[in-house]
Amino acid sequence: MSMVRTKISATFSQLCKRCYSTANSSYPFSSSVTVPSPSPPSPSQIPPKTASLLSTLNTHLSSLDPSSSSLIPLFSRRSPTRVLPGSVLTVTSYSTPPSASNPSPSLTTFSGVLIGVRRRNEGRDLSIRLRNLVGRTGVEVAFKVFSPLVKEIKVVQRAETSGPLLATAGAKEGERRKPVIKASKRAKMYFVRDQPNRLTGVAGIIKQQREREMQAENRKGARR
Amino acid sequence: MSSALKGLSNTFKTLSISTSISIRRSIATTSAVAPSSPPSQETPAAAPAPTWTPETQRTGVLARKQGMTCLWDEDGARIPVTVLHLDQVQVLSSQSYPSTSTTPARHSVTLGCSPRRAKTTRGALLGQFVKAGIDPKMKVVEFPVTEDAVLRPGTTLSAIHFVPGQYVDVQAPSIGKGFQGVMKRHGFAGLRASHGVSISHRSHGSTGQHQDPGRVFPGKKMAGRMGGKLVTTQNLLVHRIDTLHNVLYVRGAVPGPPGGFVRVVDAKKKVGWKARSRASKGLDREKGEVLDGVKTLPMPAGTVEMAEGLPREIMSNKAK
Repeated sequence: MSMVRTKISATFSQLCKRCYSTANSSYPFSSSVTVPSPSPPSPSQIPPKTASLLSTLNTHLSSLDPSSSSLIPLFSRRSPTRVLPGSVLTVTSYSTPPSASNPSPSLTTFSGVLIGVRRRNEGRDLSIRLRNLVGRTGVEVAFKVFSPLVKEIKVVQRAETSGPLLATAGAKEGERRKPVIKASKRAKMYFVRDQPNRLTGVAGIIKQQREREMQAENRKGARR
Repeated sequence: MSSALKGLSNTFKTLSISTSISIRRSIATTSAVAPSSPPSQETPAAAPAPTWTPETQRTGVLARKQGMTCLWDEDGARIPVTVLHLDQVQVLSSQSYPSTSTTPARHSVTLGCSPRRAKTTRGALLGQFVKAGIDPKMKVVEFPVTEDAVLRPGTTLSAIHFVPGQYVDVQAPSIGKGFQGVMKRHGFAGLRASHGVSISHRSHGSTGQHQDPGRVFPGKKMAGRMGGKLVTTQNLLVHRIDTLHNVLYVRGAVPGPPGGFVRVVDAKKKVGWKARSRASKGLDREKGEVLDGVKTLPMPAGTVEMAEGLPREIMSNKAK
């Protein structure tokens, strides 16, 4: 069970062209400026009329990012499709920012358990913390979700409070639920730092996901 | 006179901004003052708008600090910005003082910011607003300007007054910290936590020498009230402007709490001195830019009428 939320489908320069334009002719006071062309925010992003000016501006600024429509439902506080702590995510990020001369610099991938989401300023400073075992060492990485250096955030497997009901074939009594990653009852899972054996299964989940993706790609290649 | 002003304040109580214009004109005619026409209605022989020179001093602006947020630039750098809101900033009056034998001619522009109920406005101040034909404001300040930057009363200033890429000086009273000890107030190191120190872990220690000079020098750093003083933060870059909400995004931090009034003025050093230095070296003629990345500044001021023909949001390309 995996969902791909691609942050940027095009190259970075195309992204910039999509959302910014240099309106030199219409602004006579400077030529070293850009004019962001705003896309209308999705209904979930429009703040209530009683919201403060800063809240309205932050929501507007977050909506200018083209990936915000897919990322905000993943991480916003009350979104019904939000990712719960305990889920396994993969983040792909650039090491150096993409530029006109170097449109696709080297990428770094890090996968791990989501142990915390930090929400500030209506998404402007949204950051997530992933933890994984690299070798035998626990490694935590925090990513600023709306930073231009973060390319893509994929949900490998969501944590759920309880799995879906399974139809029982035999004469067993009671309900049987499909085993899933159990969502933590905490917003921040810092207690896993003292539990060395807890994250050993994460590597297996990520490996299974990669194998599934490889098989899907092979099937696509075979069809062609 | 007070009863007449009470009547005026009652008029203001029931006014909304849209209806105030018609009533403004009627009040002005009854008090036998020339009606303050909107800035767009120029006299028949209107002079063209003056151009900015390095010797020009434009009016500043009074803004309200909304808080801080962050913007991301293309290189992936996070830029912390302070949001300054130009909350209905209107010109109250312009004063000109002729030159005397000892002083040169002086000009100034008086502005008001943030609407206020007429009932809570003092009578004398209320009369000033009536004379200018504007709604009462919470805060009124004066800015020294040169003759070409003098403004008509009633002019509404907009965020377009500042150009993204220029620098500004921001002035406001700092957050009051109350009575504070020397460690917080002056950064003293204090004394050890243990090894025999008795009761004086955060004290200043010695305050002087011995019999010579035999006194404590005036200005000795000691504990006392900290904060609440006027602080000027110089050379903050205007990163972005939004003319719909009338908001400036300024790089860095600004003194005072959110909600506080701040004076925003073209930077003395990075605009005034820099432009003069560039002009004397001839750099302004090369690219047609008075400053690095700035062609010219709106003159005599950036008004809401000027903002109508320009893009709503503009941001600077300057790297962090």
